[in-house]
Amino acid sequence: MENLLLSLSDCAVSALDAALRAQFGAGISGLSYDGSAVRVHFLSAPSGADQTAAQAIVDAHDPVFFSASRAGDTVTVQVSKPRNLDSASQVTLTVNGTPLPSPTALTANQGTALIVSADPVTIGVETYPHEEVEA
Amino acid sequence: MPSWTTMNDLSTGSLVTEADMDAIRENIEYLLDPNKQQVQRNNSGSYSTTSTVFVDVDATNVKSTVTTNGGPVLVMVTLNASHAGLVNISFDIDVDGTRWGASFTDGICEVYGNSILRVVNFAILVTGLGAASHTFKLQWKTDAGTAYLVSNSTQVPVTITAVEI
Repeated sequence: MENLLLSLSDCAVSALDAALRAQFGAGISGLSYDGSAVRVHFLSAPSGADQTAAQAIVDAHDPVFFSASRAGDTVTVQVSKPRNLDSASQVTLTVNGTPLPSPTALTANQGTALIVSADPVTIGVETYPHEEVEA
Repeated sequence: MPSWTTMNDLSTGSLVTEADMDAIRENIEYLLDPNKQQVQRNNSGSYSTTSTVFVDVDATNVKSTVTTNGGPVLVMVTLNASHAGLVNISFDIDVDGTRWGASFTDGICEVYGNSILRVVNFAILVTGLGAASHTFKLQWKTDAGTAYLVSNSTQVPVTITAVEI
């Protein structure tokens, strides 16, 4: 086991782990993070190229993104409507005030919407009281 | 700090000197207050790992070093760990570079994640150590995903204690 220690002020651990595993595969057992530095756990001594590649991945890491691809984080929103409130079979979710392209259908007063976003967003539900969540 | 003193091997007819009695007194005092180190680590935030093999939690700060006189060492750990997944988090103690529970794939103990903050307390008695300085480090791993270890002043520290007994 050889640990490569790299400074990092903030970290989305799972995303950075995925990025490192994409580069090194089974050559690493994972990473550890203590709030100020990341340790990449190489199963054998990393070459100079490996160290450079690991540093580049850490430098490029943006903790805003939960996923390594940066193509956009996906959040699943589960909606439950109080029973007997009305007979609506769908609700409309809004992202930053903009309704999603299609309403969320409800079955037995419950429904699920999948939202993909490349930036942090606040998700609201029109009409009904709700707690905001961030994706 | 009391220290351990190697005593003379007296036999019938030996003269018991003041030095012999001093050694007895010093050794009793040492048994009352043996060499030990307790570390309560405040990392100002959680530790995390995705490693699927045992690694140090913090090789610099989550360890206990004791100079022994050849006696066994009791190592005690208290921590709070979590994992969002339905997987295990495993723990072990590294003794001078060798994992104590190396005969077991998942070390000394393991807890199940499932999004619950798990309290972990365990102790091991390390025997066979020579009279010297010895270092005991907390290690951990996860079966998959990301495991967390709480270590901040608004919650709880990670504690590791080693004492020669």
